[in-house]
Amino acid sequence: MLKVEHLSFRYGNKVIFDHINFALQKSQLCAVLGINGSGKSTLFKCCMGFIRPSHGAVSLQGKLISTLKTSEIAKSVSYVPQEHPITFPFTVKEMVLMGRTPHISNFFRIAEQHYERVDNLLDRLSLAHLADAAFSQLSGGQRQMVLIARAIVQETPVMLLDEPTSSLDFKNQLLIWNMLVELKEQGKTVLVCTHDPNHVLWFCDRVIVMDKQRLIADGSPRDVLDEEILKQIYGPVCELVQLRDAGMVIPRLEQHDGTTSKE
Amino acid sequence: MDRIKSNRQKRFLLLALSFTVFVTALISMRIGPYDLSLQEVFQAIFQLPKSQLVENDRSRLAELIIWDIRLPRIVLAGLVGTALAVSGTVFQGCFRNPLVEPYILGVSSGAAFGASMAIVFPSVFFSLPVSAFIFSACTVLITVSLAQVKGQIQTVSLILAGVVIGSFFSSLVSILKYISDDAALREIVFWLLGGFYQGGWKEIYLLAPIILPVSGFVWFLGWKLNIISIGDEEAKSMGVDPKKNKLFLIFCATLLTSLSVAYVGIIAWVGLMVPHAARMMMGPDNRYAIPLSALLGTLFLLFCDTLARNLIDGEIPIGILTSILGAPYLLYLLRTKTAS
Repeated sequence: MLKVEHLSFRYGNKVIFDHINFALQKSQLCAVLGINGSGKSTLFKCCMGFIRPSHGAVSLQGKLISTLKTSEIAKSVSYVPQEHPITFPFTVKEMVLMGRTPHISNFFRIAEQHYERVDNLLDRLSLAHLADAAFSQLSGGQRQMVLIARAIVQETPVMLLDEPTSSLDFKNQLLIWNMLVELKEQGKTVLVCTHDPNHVLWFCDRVIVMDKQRLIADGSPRDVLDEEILKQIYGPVCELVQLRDAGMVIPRLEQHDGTTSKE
Repeated sequence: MDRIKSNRQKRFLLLALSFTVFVTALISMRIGPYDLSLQEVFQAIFQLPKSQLVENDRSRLAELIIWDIRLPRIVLAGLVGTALAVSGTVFQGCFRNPLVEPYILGVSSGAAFGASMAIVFPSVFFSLPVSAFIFSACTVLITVSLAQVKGQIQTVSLILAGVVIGSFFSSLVSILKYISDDAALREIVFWLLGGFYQGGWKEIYLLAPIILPVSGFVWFLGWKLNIISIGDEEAKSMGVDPKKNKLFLIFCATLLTSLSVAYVGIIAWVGLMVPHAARMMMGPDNRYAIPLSALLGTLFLLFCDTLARNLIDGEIPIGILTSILGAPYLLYLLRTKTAS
């Protein structure tokens, strides 16, 4: 569905990431994990066609993204940006309806079917009561839900989400991740940029780890996220413990005598 | 004010406002140094069969007043109100800033310089509106080319370039004012304050075929303007090319503004406050905000022009009235926004 080949990006002489390769299949929930500045967001921008890579190529459903028009890309891949305020107070319904844009032929009088799809989705996501509320007055979690709803209503086979849970409380984080799992089960290819290794362990079926501008690991989270990789990304500040079926990354606590919890 | 949310209600409000514009225009046609009755206005407009009229000097005079003086002013006020309000809505959407106005790229300063040159050197610049239009268009071209860095135009550099160029041309206007004689200085000052006193059918025949279709086309792009106004990357992700659409919309808005300014001078505040009022009434969806802005802009300038013609014996330049009414309105908006 989404293929990234030999992708590199530089700002002048500064290498943002170099030689990235991966291919995502249908019904896959994949996370991109890495510390700040590892090039995750820039990678997403290249995958969306927002910026041109310095080298390499991105393909969507077998077609090179550089050969596709903006409107064609929008029918294949949707994007959920980090939660952010907007200037004008559009209602939730208007914001979600914007997701239908690639499918709207007459902007002057938008067909009733598009409104119906939006209404049905808002109902399904329990957002119907907020339909007429101003997007700018919602809480962070609600805004993120609305942005995800907008991407869902765009009906694309591939979805890219840039840190969708970064500003949310725990309940809303679980809500969003469960929604992403559901989307994967419906056949979508979902690529999520995240900072939390636990979310990756609990919800994703694949992880791509970026460190020092390169892709250092790619595979199932349980196989990839071991002590060695965690140490390589984050340093000796955390450890992996086994909890139920999945693992859990916890802080490595400093003892009073200066040794760490495992020593 | 609670804004209207259902599309049916919005359409009804647009219809009701169109009717209000019509009624205001009728009232405006009645009032003046020579008051006319509503019947006389109707008779003059629709030129009812002579058998229904008492054919006399008064009815002929009414016809003359309506067709040669008041109706062209009203139509011109409507066209300019539409142009300024629509371009204000476009600029605010494209720059994602509700405090941007149509003169942001230096249109008004360029037009002021062009008009002043035509007033001070009438033998060189034979037509004032043509000179004002050419200079306003040149100003925008200079602003855009200054803002271009490596083929890219950043919003901030565009606004800064507009401020710089605007300030430069304002200084040139000051120089012209300084060197001009008393009569020319008076004319420049009057022109800068704007007004419809020179409005006739000739101007309308020139402006209407451009302002009406361009405003209609911008309205057609209202939905795309919605999407552009939430951010470039999001617009791209929804299939709308922000760069191409913004450039086209800004070109349309600049054309609307510079044409209006060239013919009626600088009328402040309309392009800033009318889009605000429209969004407060119906929300930011430009499919409705654009026609509502056009109607409110028409209504506002009609109202101000009627006051300008009737408040004192002579005529108050309309720019003074729009500023007197506009400034407190913006203050009110800022205070209520801060409070909420």
